Amino acid sequence: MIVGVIVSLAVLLQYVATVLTIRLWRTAGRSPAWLVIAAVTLLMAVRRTISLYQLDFEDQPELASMLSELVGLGISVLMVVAIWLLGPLFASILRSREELRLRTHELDHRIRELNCLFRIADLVNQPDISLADVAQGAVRLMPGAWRFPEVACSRVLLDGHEYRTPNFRPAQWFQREPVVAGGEECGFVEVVYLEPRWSPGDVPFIEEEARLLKALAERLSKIVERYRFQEQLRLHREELAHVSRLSTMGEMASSLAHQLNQPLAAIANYLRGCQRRLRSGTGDQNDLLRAMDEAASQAERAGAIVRSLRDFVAKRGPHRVPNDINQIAETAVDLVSAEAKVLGVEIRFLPTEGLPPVLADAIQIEQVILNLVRNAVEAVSRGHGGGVVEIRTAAGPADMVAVSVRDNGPGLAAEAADKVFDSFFTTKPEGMGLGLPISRSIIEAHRGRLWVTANEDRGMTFHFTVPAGNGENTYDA
Amino acid sequence: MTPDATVYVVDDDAAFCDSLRFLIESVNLRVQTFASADEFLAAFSPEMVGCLVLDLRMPGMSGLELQEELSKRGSRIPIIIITAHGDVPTAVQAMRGGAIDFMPKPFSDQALLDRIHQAIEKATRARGEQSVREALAARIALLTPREREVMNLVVSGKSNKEIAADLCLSAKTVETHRARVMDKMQAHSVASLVQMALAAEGR
Repeated sequence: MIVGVIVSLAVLLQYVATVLTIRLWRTAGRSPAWLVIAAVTLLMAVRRTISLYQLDFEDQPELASMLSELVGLGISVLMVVAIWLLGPLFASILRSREELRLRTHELDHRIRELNCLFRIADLVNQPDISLADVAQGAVRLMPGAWRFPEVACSRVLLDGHEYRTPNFRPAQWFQREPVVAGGEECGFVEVVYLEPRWSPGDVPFIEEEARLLKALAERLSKIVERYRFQEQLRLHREELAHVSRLSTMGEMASSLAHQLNQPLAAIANYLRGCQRRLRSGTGDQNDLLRAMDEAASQAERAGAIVRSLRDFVAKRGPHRVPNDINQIAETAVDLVSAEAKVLGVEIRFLPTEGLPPVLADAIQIEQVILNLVRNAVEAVSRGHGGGVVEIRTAAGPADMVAVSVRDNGPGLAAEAADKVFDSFFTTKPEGMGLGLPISRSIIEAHRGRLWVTANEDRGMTFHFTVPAGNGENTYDA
Repeated sequence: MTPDATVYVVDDDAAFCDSLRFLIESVNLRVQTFASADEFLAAFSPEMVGCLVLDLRMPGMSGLELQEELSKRGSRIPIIIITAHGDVPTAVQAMRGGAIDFMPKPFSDQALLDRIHQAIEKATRARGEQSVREALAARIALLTPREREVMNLVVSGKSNKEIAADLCLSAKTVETHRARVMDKMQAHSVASLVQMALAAEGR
């Protein structure tokens, strides 16, 4: 009885297996292997059913056993077929799994590479970052993008400067890519493995890593080109400032040359007067000595004029040291006073005492003040006398020192006031329109501001601020 | 050289003024310096004899403006312009305005002193001619109208007989008038009378 129940259960399960297998066939890829297995389970179920219900083959016992054995054979054949068909299926499953593993690994690697590139790009986008900092940052970010970061170190060479990770040491397993900027090689990027961690038969560096290194080298070369371009731009700006100074100088040279004629003529008069007195014998020794003394003073006066001219034209890079703004302003005002006197314009210099030192390039700030004062003088001299230009220095907000140049001229129309700092905008017939834009560049390079306001009564006031400082942040460019 | 001939120097550069004074005094000329055109005008009088050495660019009234003002006031004082800021248009304007010369600074001392001497001579001569004219005018004022007529006719070369005919006077009357004219004019001959007549007219 129990045997019967067990056999019935077995048969039932085999039919269930058939159904499930057919469903598998439908849902898991329609591989014929499933159909074969279904056939196998079906036949097994049929054989069991046959033996279970003892179909009357009693009179033909050989037929019954032959049928049974045939079915058994069929089962065996089908099982072989099934296994033969299933083999590739499982193999492909295993392959997929392996591929997935590899792909995931690769993806992980890709992510690290992209991360490396993005973070280097972020680094470059930081304002005011230097090329050295970019290179140092890149060098630190690189090992993380390689397969075995724990034993990787990296090095970057740019224009003779080397940047390396702290653990760097040359070894036999390295990858190197040259950095080419402006058509010529200016350095390289390099990744070195300190120990071999890859499996035997594998290569230390995969192709993706070679491509990444190349991409990094290209990125760095673009960065170098950009910094070089910015440097050129800066040099050009300085050149322009120099040229503008020269043209300003050209204009000032004539009035200064005239200034020179005065002392020279006086010297000639004194000396000729001495000669005549000596020849005619009417020379009183005291008179002669006094005349010669005066002549010498005039020579010194001429020398001072020449010196101030030369200092002004000397081309200098920005050289910021603590300076007394009142002294700078006074020098500028002195340079313009001759011109102003000739044009009948009164200049009032109203400094505030006790101001903190400013961190500035004295010549450049002097040039800015000169430009503003000359503009003011010209603005008021086109009127009919009574022109006054006031130059003031004072403490400004937030650790700045403020300088203002105020005139009582006709002022600027609203549209002109907006454009007055644009390059090549000028209201003067012989002007170049570069003085104010260059002045503004100079002030902004000093981290100050230059702006203009209209006075309540008449005329305009130009203001600029420069940071106060005592020299802790000096640098030579 | 008349004792009161003076060189007047107008220039705003004090050191230059002083040096110029030193130079001019070395040839024994009198010098007076002024720091601005206004200062000079304040001290100016038409009786001044001498010459003016003038700078062009000065605060307030410029050299050219002073030149114009002086000519408006009828001054004929000779002007020499010296300047550190020479340019052709200004020079032309100054010369047109009647300046004797236009010199840049620095200049040759001899050239300037020569010019100053010439200017003073010219000024002195002009002053001399002025005095003569004034003296003659005073004498002519002493003549009666009839005597004046006679003098004009004598000077034009007419003989006594012709003058008598022109004026419907007797020859004797004409002779009397003529003698009185010569006396009042202090002329010794007809020729000198002619000269005086010409000088009185300013020729």
